Amino acid sequence: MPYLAEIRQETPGCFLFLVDQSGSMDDSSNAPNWHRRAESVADAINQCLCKLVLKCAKSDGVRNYYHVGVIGYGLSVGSAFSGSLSERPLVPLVEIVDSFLRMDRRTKKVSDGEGGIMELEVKVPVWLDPVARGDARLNEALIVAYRILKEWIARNKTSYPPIVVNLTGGETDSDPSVAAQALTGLATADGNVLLCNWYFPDTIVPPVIFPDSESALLTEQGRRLFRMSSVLPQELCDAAIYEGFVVNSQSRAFASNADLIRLVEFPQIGARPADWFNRITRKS
Amino acid sequence: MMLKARQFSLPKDGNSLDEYEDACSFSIASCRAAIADGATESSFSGQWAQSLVEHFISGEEENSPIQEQLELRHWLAPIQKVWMENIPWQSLEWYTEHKARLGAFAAFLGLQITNKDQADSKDAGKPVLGDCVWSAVACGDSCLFHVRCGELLCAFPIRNSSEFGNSPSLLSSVSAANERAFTKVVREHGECRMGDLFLLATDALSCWILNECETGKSPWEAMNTLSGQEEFYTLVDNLRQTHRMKNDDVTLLIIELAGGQYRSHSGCESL
Repeated sequence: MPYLAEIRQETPGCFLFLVDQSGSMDDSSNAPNWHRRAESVADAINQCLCKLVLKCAKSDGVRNYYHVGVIGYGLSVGSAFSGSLSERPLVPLVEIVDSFLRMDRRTKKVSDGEGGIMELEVKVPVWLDPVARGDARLNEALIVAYRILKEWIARNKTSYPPIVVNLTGGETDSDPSVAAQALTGLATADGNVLLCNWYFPDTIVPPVIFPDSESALLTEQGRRLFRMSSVLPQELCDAAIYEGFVVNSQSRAFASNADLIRLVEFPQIGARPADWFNRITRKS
Repeated sequence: MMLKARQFSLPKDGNSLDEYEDACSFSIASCRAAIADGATESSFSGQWAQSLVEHFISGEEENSPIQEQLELRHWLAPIQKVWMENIPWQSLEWYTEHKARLGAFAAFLGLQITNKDQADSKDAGKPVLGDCVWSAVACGDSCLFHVRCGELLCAFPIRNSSEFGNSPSLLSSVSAANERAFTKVVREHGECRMGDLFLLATDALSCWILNECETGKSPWEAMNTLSGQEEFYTLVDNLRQTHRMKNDDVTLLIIELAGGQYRSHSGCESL
């Protein structure tokens, strides 16, 4: 059964983020404080990277459970990291841990356990600053992603399939559907590459996550991105249901105006949940 | 009647002993046993799991979380304070500090065996002749199995292998994170007698045990004949390689109510 490979340091997983850094992202967004979409996207990436580090961190260090890359597309198409991180398309997670640009401090509201709310100051590393220049070269970014992952898969043949997350405002300078199809045609022994499109529309629309039909989307850009998105494999459907999402066998890896952090919660590190093992043994 | 106890443990395959995050402890003198399973994705969870089991074993009877009327937040408060004070905050990397401030989490199960006639007395816990009562408290997916003459009398708190998942309720080292967990704490009790076995196991092994029970098998037969850690390793390794048990830290504590007369408080304890 696919999408069951254990994510371990010996057989790491892979997250490749594609980030729309085109001039079209230099406008107001649906965020409550009306940040530019470029800021929303950069913030989403930084939070995801932080979440991945925390997910893999133990008291004595960070485990290399993932290889990570961030490809920006706008004025150029290439690594959106700065410094030495930008020299390679994918790096082991431990290498990004301390390679941030700066450490911001934010206040987070949490429960105090007594029915009230308290404020907790947390450190938030910043790896990416907002960029909004150039054309929306999504087609080219998908082709670059194809080359990167073809090489990665050749070295990690049995790993959990790579997950590509495209954070986009929806515009594109040329039809990306063929490149998207080629990308999702790549596969490890455990399954095909998953392409997940996270859409940041420039109009106010209701949040949508893992829809099963493009009719749920109000813009042609959203519908095109939906068609390009991978159908959620059964195991991820089960994980999504467990996390409280409403999905079915037709649901796709697509979201609009939604919190990206939830996506990096799965797949699970290490072994599959015990109840999944039960289903496997019963079926066999 | 006296208690005999044996414990077995193995870290997750691919991890070192330093990364092992389960904990277990028992006291023949007080007839208590406890097991805890630190959450993989939280920091310093192994230390927290150890604190939980030691706190249960060494605590006063009237302040035991077995007692229905005891508020768990009060029981946890002293060890939460110690846990917080023992974190080397100044020397932590940013990600470790970030995670540590969110708290450590662990599943927990505690078992108390009390002489039936002295269940309400201050001498409860001293091994004597006669039937006994057992009481247990749990939060999460570490389990207890009460076995008599090869038959399972009780599985607690989980009774079906399908109930295992990746998000069990866990006790936290940070007060603010326990609101939901406190609503999920469960207690159970029953009678027990000479020859009974209690198996306490963390989730991976517990799930396999229940799986075996559901297919009509008696997994405690193999476990009760384990002569040492090597045989336990062989058993667990086989289960992992054949995908009958998930790859995780594994801990097993076997408590047996053995035959024998009570001579003195120091004379009849045994391992």
